[in-house]
Amino acid sequence: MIRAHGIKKNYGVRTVLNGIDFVAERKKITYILGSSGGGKSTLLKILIGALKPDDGQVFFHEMDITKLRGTGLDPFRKKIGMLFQQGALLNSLTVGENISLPIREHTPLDDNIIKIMVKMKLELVGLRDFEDLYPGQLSGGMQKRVALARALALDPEVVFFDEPTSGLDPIVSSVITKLISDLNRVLGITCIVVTHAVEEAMKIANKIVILYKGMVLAEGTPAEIRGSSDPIVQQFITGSPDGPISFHASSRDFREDLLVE
Amino acid sequence: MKNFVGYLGRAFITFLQDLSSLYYLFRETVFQSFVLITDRKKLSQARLLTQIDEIGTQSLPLVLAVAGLLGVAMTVLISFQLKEVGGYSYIPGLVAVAIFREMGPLITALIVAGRVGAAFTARIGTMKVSEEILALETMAINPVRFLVVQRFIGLLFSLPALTTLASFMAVFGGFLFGSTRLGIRPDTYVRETLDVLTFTDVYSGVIKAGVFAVVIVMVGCYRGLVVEGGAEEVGRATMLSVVSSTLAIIVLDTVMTGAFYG
Amino acid sequence: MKVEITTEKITAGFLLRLKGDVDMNSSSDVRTAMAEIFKQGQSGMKALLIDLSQVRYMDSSGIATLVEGMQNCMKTGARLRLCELSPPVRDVFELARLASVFEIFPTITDASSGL
Repeated sequence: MIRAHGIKKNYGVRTVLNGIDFVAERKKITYILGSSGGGKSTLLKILIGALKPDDGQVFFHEMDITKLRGTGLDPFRKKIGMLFQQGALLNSLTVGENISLPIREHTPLDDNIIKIMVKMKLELVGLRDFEDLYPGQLSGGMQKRVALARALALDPEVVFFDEPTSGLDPIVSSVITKLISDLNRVLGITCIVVTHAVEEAMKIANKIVILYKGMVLAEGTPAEIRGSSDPIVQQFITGSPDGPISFHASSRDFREDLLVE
Repeated sequence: MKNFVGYLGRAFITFLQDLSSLYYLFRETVFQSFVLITDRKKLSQARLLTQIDEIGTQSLPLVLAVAGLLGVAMTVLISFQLKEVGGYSYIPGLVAVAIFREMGPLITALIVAGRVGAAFTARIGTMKVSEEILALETMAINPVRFLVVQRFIGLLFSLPALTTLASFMAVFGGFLFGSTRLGIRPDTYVRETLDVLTFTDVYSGVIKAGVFAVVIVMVGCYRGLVVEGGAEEVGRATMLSVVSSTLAIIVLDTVMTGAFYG
Repeated sequence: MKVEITTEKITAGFLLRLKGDVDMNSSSDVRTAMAEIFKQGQSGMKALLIDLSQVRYMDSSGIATLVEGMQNCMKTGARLRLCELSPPVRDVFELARLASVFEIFPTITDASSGL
């Protein structure tokens, strides 16, 4: 279980997160939706302990990870996996070495066992024949699948996904979405997905949290979100250009901006 | 004028911040090096030999070529000056001492800073902007141990070895010129060299090389680790890395030369 | 939680009973136990049965250990048969697409027949 409580973060004078509260239940899929530049990535970095919030706590079980520094975070990090938006595979290592790296680092397992585990993880993402290639030789979608295999290397309790399907073709997207759902259903992995892909969230999420202007605008099951009467929520899930969320980011009147010096 | 003072002030503060960060990185690197060499399993995965090969062996041809030519050039210059007073017999010793103590370590370090230090920054900087370093941290793998330590140990072995080879090559260059063009008998040239050159000359050069190795690795890796942004920033960091390590090498060289003679 | 391992000699070979969770910490114990069996029954061992009824959780290192056991069995010409997988463990095998790689039987009796 991951519980965020009153997370605040400013970059200089810009407030990115202004008091985020939510709970991601154990063995459930939680989607965090928000528009681009809405502080989703910042929130994700805070959740994995890579960034300290200005205020607030993040609890993993009963442990407040915002209080932990350096190697103090290691026990938490060994229990989580993270799928980065661009994969973030180590380019100097082969696909197989990338996946075996965390296993070699953190377990005393024999080389042969690790070899079998790597094959199993790759089979899970459908890329068993690519073990000896380097990430640079793979397409973006394949890199992302390898990165998912790496995130699963240590059989984590929680996996975080940063925009798991952005930039992928519809087929690979739905394969990854199905994989998230399977991992959760079969292995009981708690999944926390940060994305702007609304349809995907509606399909597999147990819970959806919508971020807007650094706050939680709405949270609930897909059905609850769909049935929400809030016009901002409605605009968000339908993706309509007209509504309370303005496409125009500037506050000054256009006419005034052009004509009045 | 006021702007200029402000600029200088800010630059100085940045310099101090960099210096203190470099110190922490150095401390962590030394600590993680001990962690690595006391852990046999991790040591076997660290590919130290690959690093030594990449840094050392691959720089060797360039370093030797430059060193040999430098030896010739120095001998030519010195012979012009000594011709007037007929002091050719001083040439072998003078060239050898200047090379082992000063030119060998300096020129090797500058070449390696440009070739290897820049590559460190570019490599690590690219990993930083593509979130590979964040990925390592998220996997509870210490990035300093994973990225800096092997380069640190690799260069700490390679640079003194390269420097010594370069110095021998430069002295050999001087020997070739002296014995073929200046009419110094080969056996005399060798004897004169060995008479003047002391063990201290050789090892003070090696010590310099060790210090330069630390500078190149620390500056190179640090500039890479602090990159923020995209590919453009990696390029800028690489340039900064070469400039600052070159400068640091020359300053430290002067200080050490003074200290060893003082 | 540690895994309890008991080894039994049966007519066809050996029966390995596992109880507990087979994970990154305990799978190497299972591996040691299997290595011991392969040493004892070098020739003449027709089968190694593994009773998983008391295993509630098995992670990928546990499965990899069983795969390695399978590799060793193939070398000596013996068969490796798994029996009484609990539903969660069975799901893990299905997801890993290993249900078809192993010979899986509902009971020990079924597994020992036809050897």
